[in-house]
Amino acid sequence: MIEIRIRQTIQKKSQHTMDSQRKVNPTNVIPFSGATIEPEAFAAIYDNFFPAVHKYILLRTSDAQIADDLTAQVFERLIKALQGYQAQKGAFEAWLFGIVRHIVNDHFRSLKRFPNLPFHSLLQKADPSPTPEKTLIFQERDNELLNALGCLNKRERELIAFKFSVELNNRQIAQLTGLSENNVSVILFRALRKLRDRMLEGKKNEREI
Amino acid sequence: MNEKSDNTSLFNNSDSPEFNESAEDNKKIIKRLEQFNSTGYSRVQNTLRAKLLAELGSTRSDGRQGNTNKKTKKNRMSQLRWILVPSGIILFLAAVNIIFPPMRIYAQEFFSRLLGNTLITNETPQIEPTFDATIAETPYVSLTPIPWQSLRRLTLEEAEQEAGFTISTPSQIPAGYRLAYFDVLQPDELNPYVAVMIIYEGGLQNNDTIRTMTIRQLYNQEGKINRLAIGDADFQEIKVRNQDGVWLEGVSPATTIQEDDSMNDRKLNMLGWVENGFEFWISSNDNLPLDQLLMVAESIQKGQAAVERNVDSLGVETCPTTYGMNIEAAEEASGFDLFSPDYLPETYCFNTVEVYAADQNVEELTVAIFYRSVEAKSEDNPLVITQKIQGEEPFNLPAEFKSTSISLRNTQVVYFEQPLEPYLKILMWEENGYEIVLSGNNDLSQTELTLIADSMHQ
Repeated sequence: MIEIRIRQTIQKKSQHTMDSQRKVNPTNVIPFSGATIEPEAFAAIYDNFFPAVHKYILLRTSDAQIADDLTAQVFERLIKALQGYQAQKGAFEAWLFGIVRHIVNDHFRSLKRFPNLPFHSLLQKADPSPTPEKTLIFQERDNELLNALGCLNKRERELIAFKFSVELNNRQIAQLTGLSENNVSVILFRALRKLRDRMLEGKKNEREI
Repeated sequence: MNEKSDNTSLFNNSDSPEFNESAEDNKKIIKRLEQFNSTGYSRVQNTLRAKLLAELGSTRSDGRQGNTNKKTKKNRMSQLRWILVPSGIILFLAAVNIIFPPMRIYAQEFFSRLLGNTLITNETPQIEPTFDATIAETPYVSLTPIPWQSLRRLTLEEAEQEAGFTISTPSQIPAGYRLAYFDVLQPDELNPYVAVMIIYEGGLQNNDTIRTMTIRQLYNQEGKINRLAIGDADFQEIKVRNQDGVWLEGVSPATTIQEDDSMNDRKLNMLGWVENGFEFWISSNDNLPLDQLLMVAESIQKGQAAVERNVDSLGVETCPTTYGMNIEAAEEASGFDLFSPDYLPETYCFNTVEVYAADQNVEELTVAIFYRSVEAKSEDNPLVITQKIQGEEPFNLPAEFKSTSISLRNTQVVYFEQPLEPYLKILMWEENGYEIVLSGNNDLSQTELTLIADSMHQ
């Protein structure tokens, strides 16, 4: 096994503040396949991608605690998975978010609900909105957004999360989800329209009250 | 159809107040989504960082120690091998030299080469570096926000206007495929000429991927196909429309991330040729065979309306190929005698069937049959029929659902509507020892759901 020594420049940069670490290109600190990842390199990746990973998961789950738990799982899994990353096969962000997607999907699968059985999932969906305790921790503005996301179906919500967390383009999202690029555009468009309608409806209701 | 006109009004440069209002609202939603910062709600960001780095530090030092031990052992084995193997050969050849004089010349030749070229040398030994390897520079992928990409679903006329030439279109397509849209790609660093894409879609090929057949037409003044990186795809030179063409199987234009985090190549079959100053490529992501793509190629003509759907001899649109299990396989897997409908609304097709074994997610063995509509703009299944063994206790509907009772085939059927998308209308009943539930989205009326239910039999 070839052991990689992280370049001096990266080591120096990683000792700086978080802001300066953000300027480090994380894909340059990823070792060759099979090599051991240095803590400094991992720190640079963590600091760069934590916000996007956390945002993606929160946009899909609307639950801050679950977002924390799943984000932790992502980075724990990443330590091992980094050895299998092949830079020539695709962008790092897309690969990382492939892992994030699997972890979130596994989470939904593990829930006691029938993902594809509409009637049963309906009966098991005791409370589609967050509990009052959880609602309190979100600011009003964010709460409105997260609640509105509840009107989207699983796939629409996933694509919105991809689009607005890591800002992948439609082609990258298509590659991650196995959808065609055209289908990604259509679903994103429909999702955006649904969100718009739901949020306008919420405002209209508020005015009527 | 309403939906299509909505799409057009939202994405075209319309001056209508409705469009302006919608576009403004869209921008606001996009801004809200972009500005949403979730890290303020994280309680683990810093602690998790410290924990993972500590774990990584300890793992690395353990790993290094382990590696050192392994390397030492490996080095010893390697040294021993270098001593034992040549010694064995030398002894063997010496013995041969003594016993069989005619072999002497070969033995001498061997020793000469061995001593001259291998054993005695002034070259520095080639040792694999164990450290100081620099890290390969990977191309930096910018994290700057990518603007919202408008949906382009051009008509033939719009595409021709934008491309600046008359588009050649097919009059025949494979069964189950349907015209999705036209698009025009402007020249970029990879493609020097404007290209027109005609996209046909043929339903899902698994849970996620949509079958797509694309016809690409672009200027080509050289008279031969442009260079194309095909990797290890199978390549065959063939005649297409009396022109020299190529047939490629298994071209990998992109990679996808698999469930186990590995990266796998996507595969396309492609048929290409050059004709009258244009280069054509027909590609399929669903392994459509050569004869199917040749049929499409032979039917291409300039200036004709593109065929929109594939119809059978009775003029009925053919259904997309199904995926996964069929009803018979599901009956075998579940042991159920499944109910299925004789009647389906026009444009509705069987899509797939899934069997859910009883586990922590599903209380009882359940079978779900999924139907899709070829008219639907998305790949959602607008109709789902689920079936499981009738429970001992009569089923109690939650009080919040206002239901009505309908008599169907001498059976009492419960109909109710619920507000959460996508399955808004539900019919349920018990028959022949099974509990059956029909769930439909807003595209289906109560009357249609009832007709479907009425036509169901085992």
